[in-house]
Amino acid sequence: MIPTGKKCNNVTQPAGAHSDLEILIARAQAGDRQAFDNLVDRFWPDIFRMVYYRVRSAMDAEDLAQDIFVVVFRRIKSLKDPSRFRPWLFTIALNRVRDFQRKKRFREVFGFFTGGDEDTVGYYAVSDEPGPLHNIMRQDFWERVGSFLSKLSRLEKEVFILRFMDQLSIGEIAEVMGKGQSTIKTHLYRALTKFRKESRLVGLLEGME
Amino acid sequence: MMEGGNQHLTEDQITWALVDENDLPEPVKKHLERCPFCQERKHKLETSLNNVGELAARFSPVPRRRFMSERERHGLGWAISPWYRGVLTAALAGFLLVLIFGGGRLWHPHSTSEITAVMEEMREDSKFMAEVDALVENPLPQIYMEILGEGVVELDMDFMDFLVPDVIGTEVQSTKA
Repeated sequence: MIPTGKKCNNVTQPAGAHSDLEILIARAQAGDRQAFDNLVDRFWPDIFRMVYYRVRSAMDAEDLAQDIFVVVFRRIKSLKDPSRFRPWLFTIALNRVRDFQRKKRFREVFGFFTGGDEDTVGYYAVSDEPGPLHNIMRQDFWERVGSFLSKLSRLEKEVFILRFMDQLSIGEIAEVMGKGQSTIKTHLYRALTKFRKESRLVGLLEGME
Repeated sequence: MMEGGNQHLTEDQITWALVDENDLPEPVKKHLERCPFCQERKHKLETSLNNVGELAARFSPVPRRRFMSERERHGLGWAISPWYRGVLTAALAGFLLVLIFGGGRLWHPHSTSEITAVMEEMREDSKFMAEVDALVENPLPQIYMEILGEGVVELDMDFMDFLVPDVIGTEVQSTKA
């Protein structure tokens, strides 16, 4: 089943009803620290992975996720519609990641940064399946994904990752990227056309069935 | 290929079906609903794309740290509020000023008298040097200078030439004559 965005759009709820998430957000907006902590617990893994997919360094991903939630903590009162929390959160996250990548490029240009993308996965536990075979598969997967993503334009890449790795709906992606849904669909269509031609990656993924 | 009088979906239409099935033309959509072959093709691509997300999550590290608020992060929770931050900044600035401009006093309590003594000594020295300079210029006290009339008459070079004519110049003139 293609991801349709996580449960935050409340389309199946009766009018006037509020989801648990919206109640939690409303409490966090009112200054309830416990509610904010619950909100962080719920979204911390998603945001950590979202950042990791883009920076490919676990330590940087943790630092950035920390920064992102600090911004969320400061600005949560400015969120008008709690049902739009997820796209709002991803907008903050995406901006922070872009900012980080811009600074990193700047440092690289002026020679302040010597290392490339560092995958510090060895430093962190990878889910609960460690082992040499798992590490080989992981390395192979990221290498093929990286090769595919490098063939996409910036927007195609971002839309593809948001849709299939971050599991956002088309509507949420449009909100996060500040573009119309038809634009998002066009970029997604182009990315998928390239994906079908990526036999190495598609072969690996079909083998997972 | 044909299926019940309808054409199977093209690759592009299958791709578009994954972007948004509702955007497909009505006959294409109806064909997809009842054609197992096209559904299978769509399902295959759909599964591959779902696997991208699933594997990406599986092959991502697990975060070790939990979120820390700014207060926890700095370990000085109370100091983070703007009011305390202002007070802290002012206190720090004051301490630095004292350290820079008056720091010596804090560590050398006797230095004030030492500095005063040195200053006094320097003042005495300069007073003495002023007296020496005055004597070099005019060895006689001012009162004697007035008695002599030197205080009144301007002793410029013309006046001195008038008083003591240049002997060498005169000799040269007399030789020529």
